[in-house]
Amino acid sequence: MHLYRAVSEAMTVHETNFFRDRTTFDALRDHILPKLIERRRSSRRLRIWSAACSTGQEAYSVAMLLREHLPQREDWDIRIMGTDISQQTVEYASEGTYSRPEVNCGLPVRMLLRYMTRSEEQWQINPDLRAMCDFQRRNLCVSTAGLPLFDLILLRNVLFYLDSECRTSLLTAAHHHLAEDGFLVLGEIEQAEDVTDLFQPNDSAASLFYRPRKIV
Amino acid sequence: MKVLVVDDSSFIREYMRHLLGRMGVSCEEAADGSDALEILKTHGDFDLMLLDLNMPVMNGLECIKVMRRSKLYPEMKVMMVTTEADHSLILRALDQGADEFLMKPFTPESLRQKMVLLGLSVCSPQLI
Repeated sequence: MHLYRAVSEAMTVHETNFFRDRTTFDALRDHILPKLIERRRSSRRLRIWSAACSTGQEAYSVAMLLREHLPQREDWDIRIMGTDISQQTVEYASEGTYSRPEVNCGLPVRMLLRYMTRSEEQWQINPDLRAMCDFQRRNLCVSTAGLPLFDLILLRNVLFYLDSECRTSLLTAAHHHLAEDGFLVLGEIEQAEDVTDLFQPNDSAASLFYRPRKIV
Repeated sequence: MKVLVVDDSSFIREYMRHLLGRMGVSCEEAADGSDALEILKTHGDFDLMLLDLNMPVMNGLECIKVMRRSKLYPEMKVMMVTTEADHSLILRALDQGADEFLMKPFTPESLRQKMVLLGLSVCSPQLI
């Protein structure tokens, strides 16, 4: 392993859990996803990016929400992409196998029964949910080239670890990869306004949701 | 908020009392299901029952069955807290009227998050 990658593996924070921050997931369920579903009703296509996915719980939580609340989901083309700077966590996310403490944290038991299968002391994400998600290693501060256009970008609990220059660069990339009528989601204590005017707060949901501004 | 902790282990009950206290929550204790039903009848309404599964005298499944059938405090949430993790057993507990399930061993944060899932507002234990 290159020294640079080894250092980034060691320095990265992997704290996460299923449905982390209830306010965010309530707003996703009640406001954001219904809007996106309505807007994409004719194309029946949704692209979602969990931009710092860590061990994958955020991506799988969104997949569960869609399974629960999207009528006729089998007619939709849905892809959830998870990216993370750490190869180890990307491999962990791809595996989709979680321990008892991990499934204990934030995941309603009915969803555990519905979307995961127990194998001794591990719980495995079921194949249909796993098939909705792709994971890949990426350093977002270096390049987002090759990523598609997304309808929803979750960039939560990342910005406060970065310096101003990197925050600006990352938000610019998020703007580039976000559909004009899509949504950006930040963490509960993060703001897009402090480094860029590319996004405006979305007033119909919690203040951590943003819409892209049009660049003239 | 008032919580009833039902567990045959005095160590677990003491740990729960300590943990809930750090969240600003007061609690009563019962050593088995039968004891819990008596406390429910005499000590008024609780917001949440944390209920172990395997206990002498009356186990958790029997307790919840009697309680839900008798409509004793139907608004009270019930969270099973147990080492058991068998799929069919969890389903049985939910069918009997349990609202959530927390597997032992658990962290203070996982208990808090499960309480939040039940619509109960509690502080992070580490902030107190």
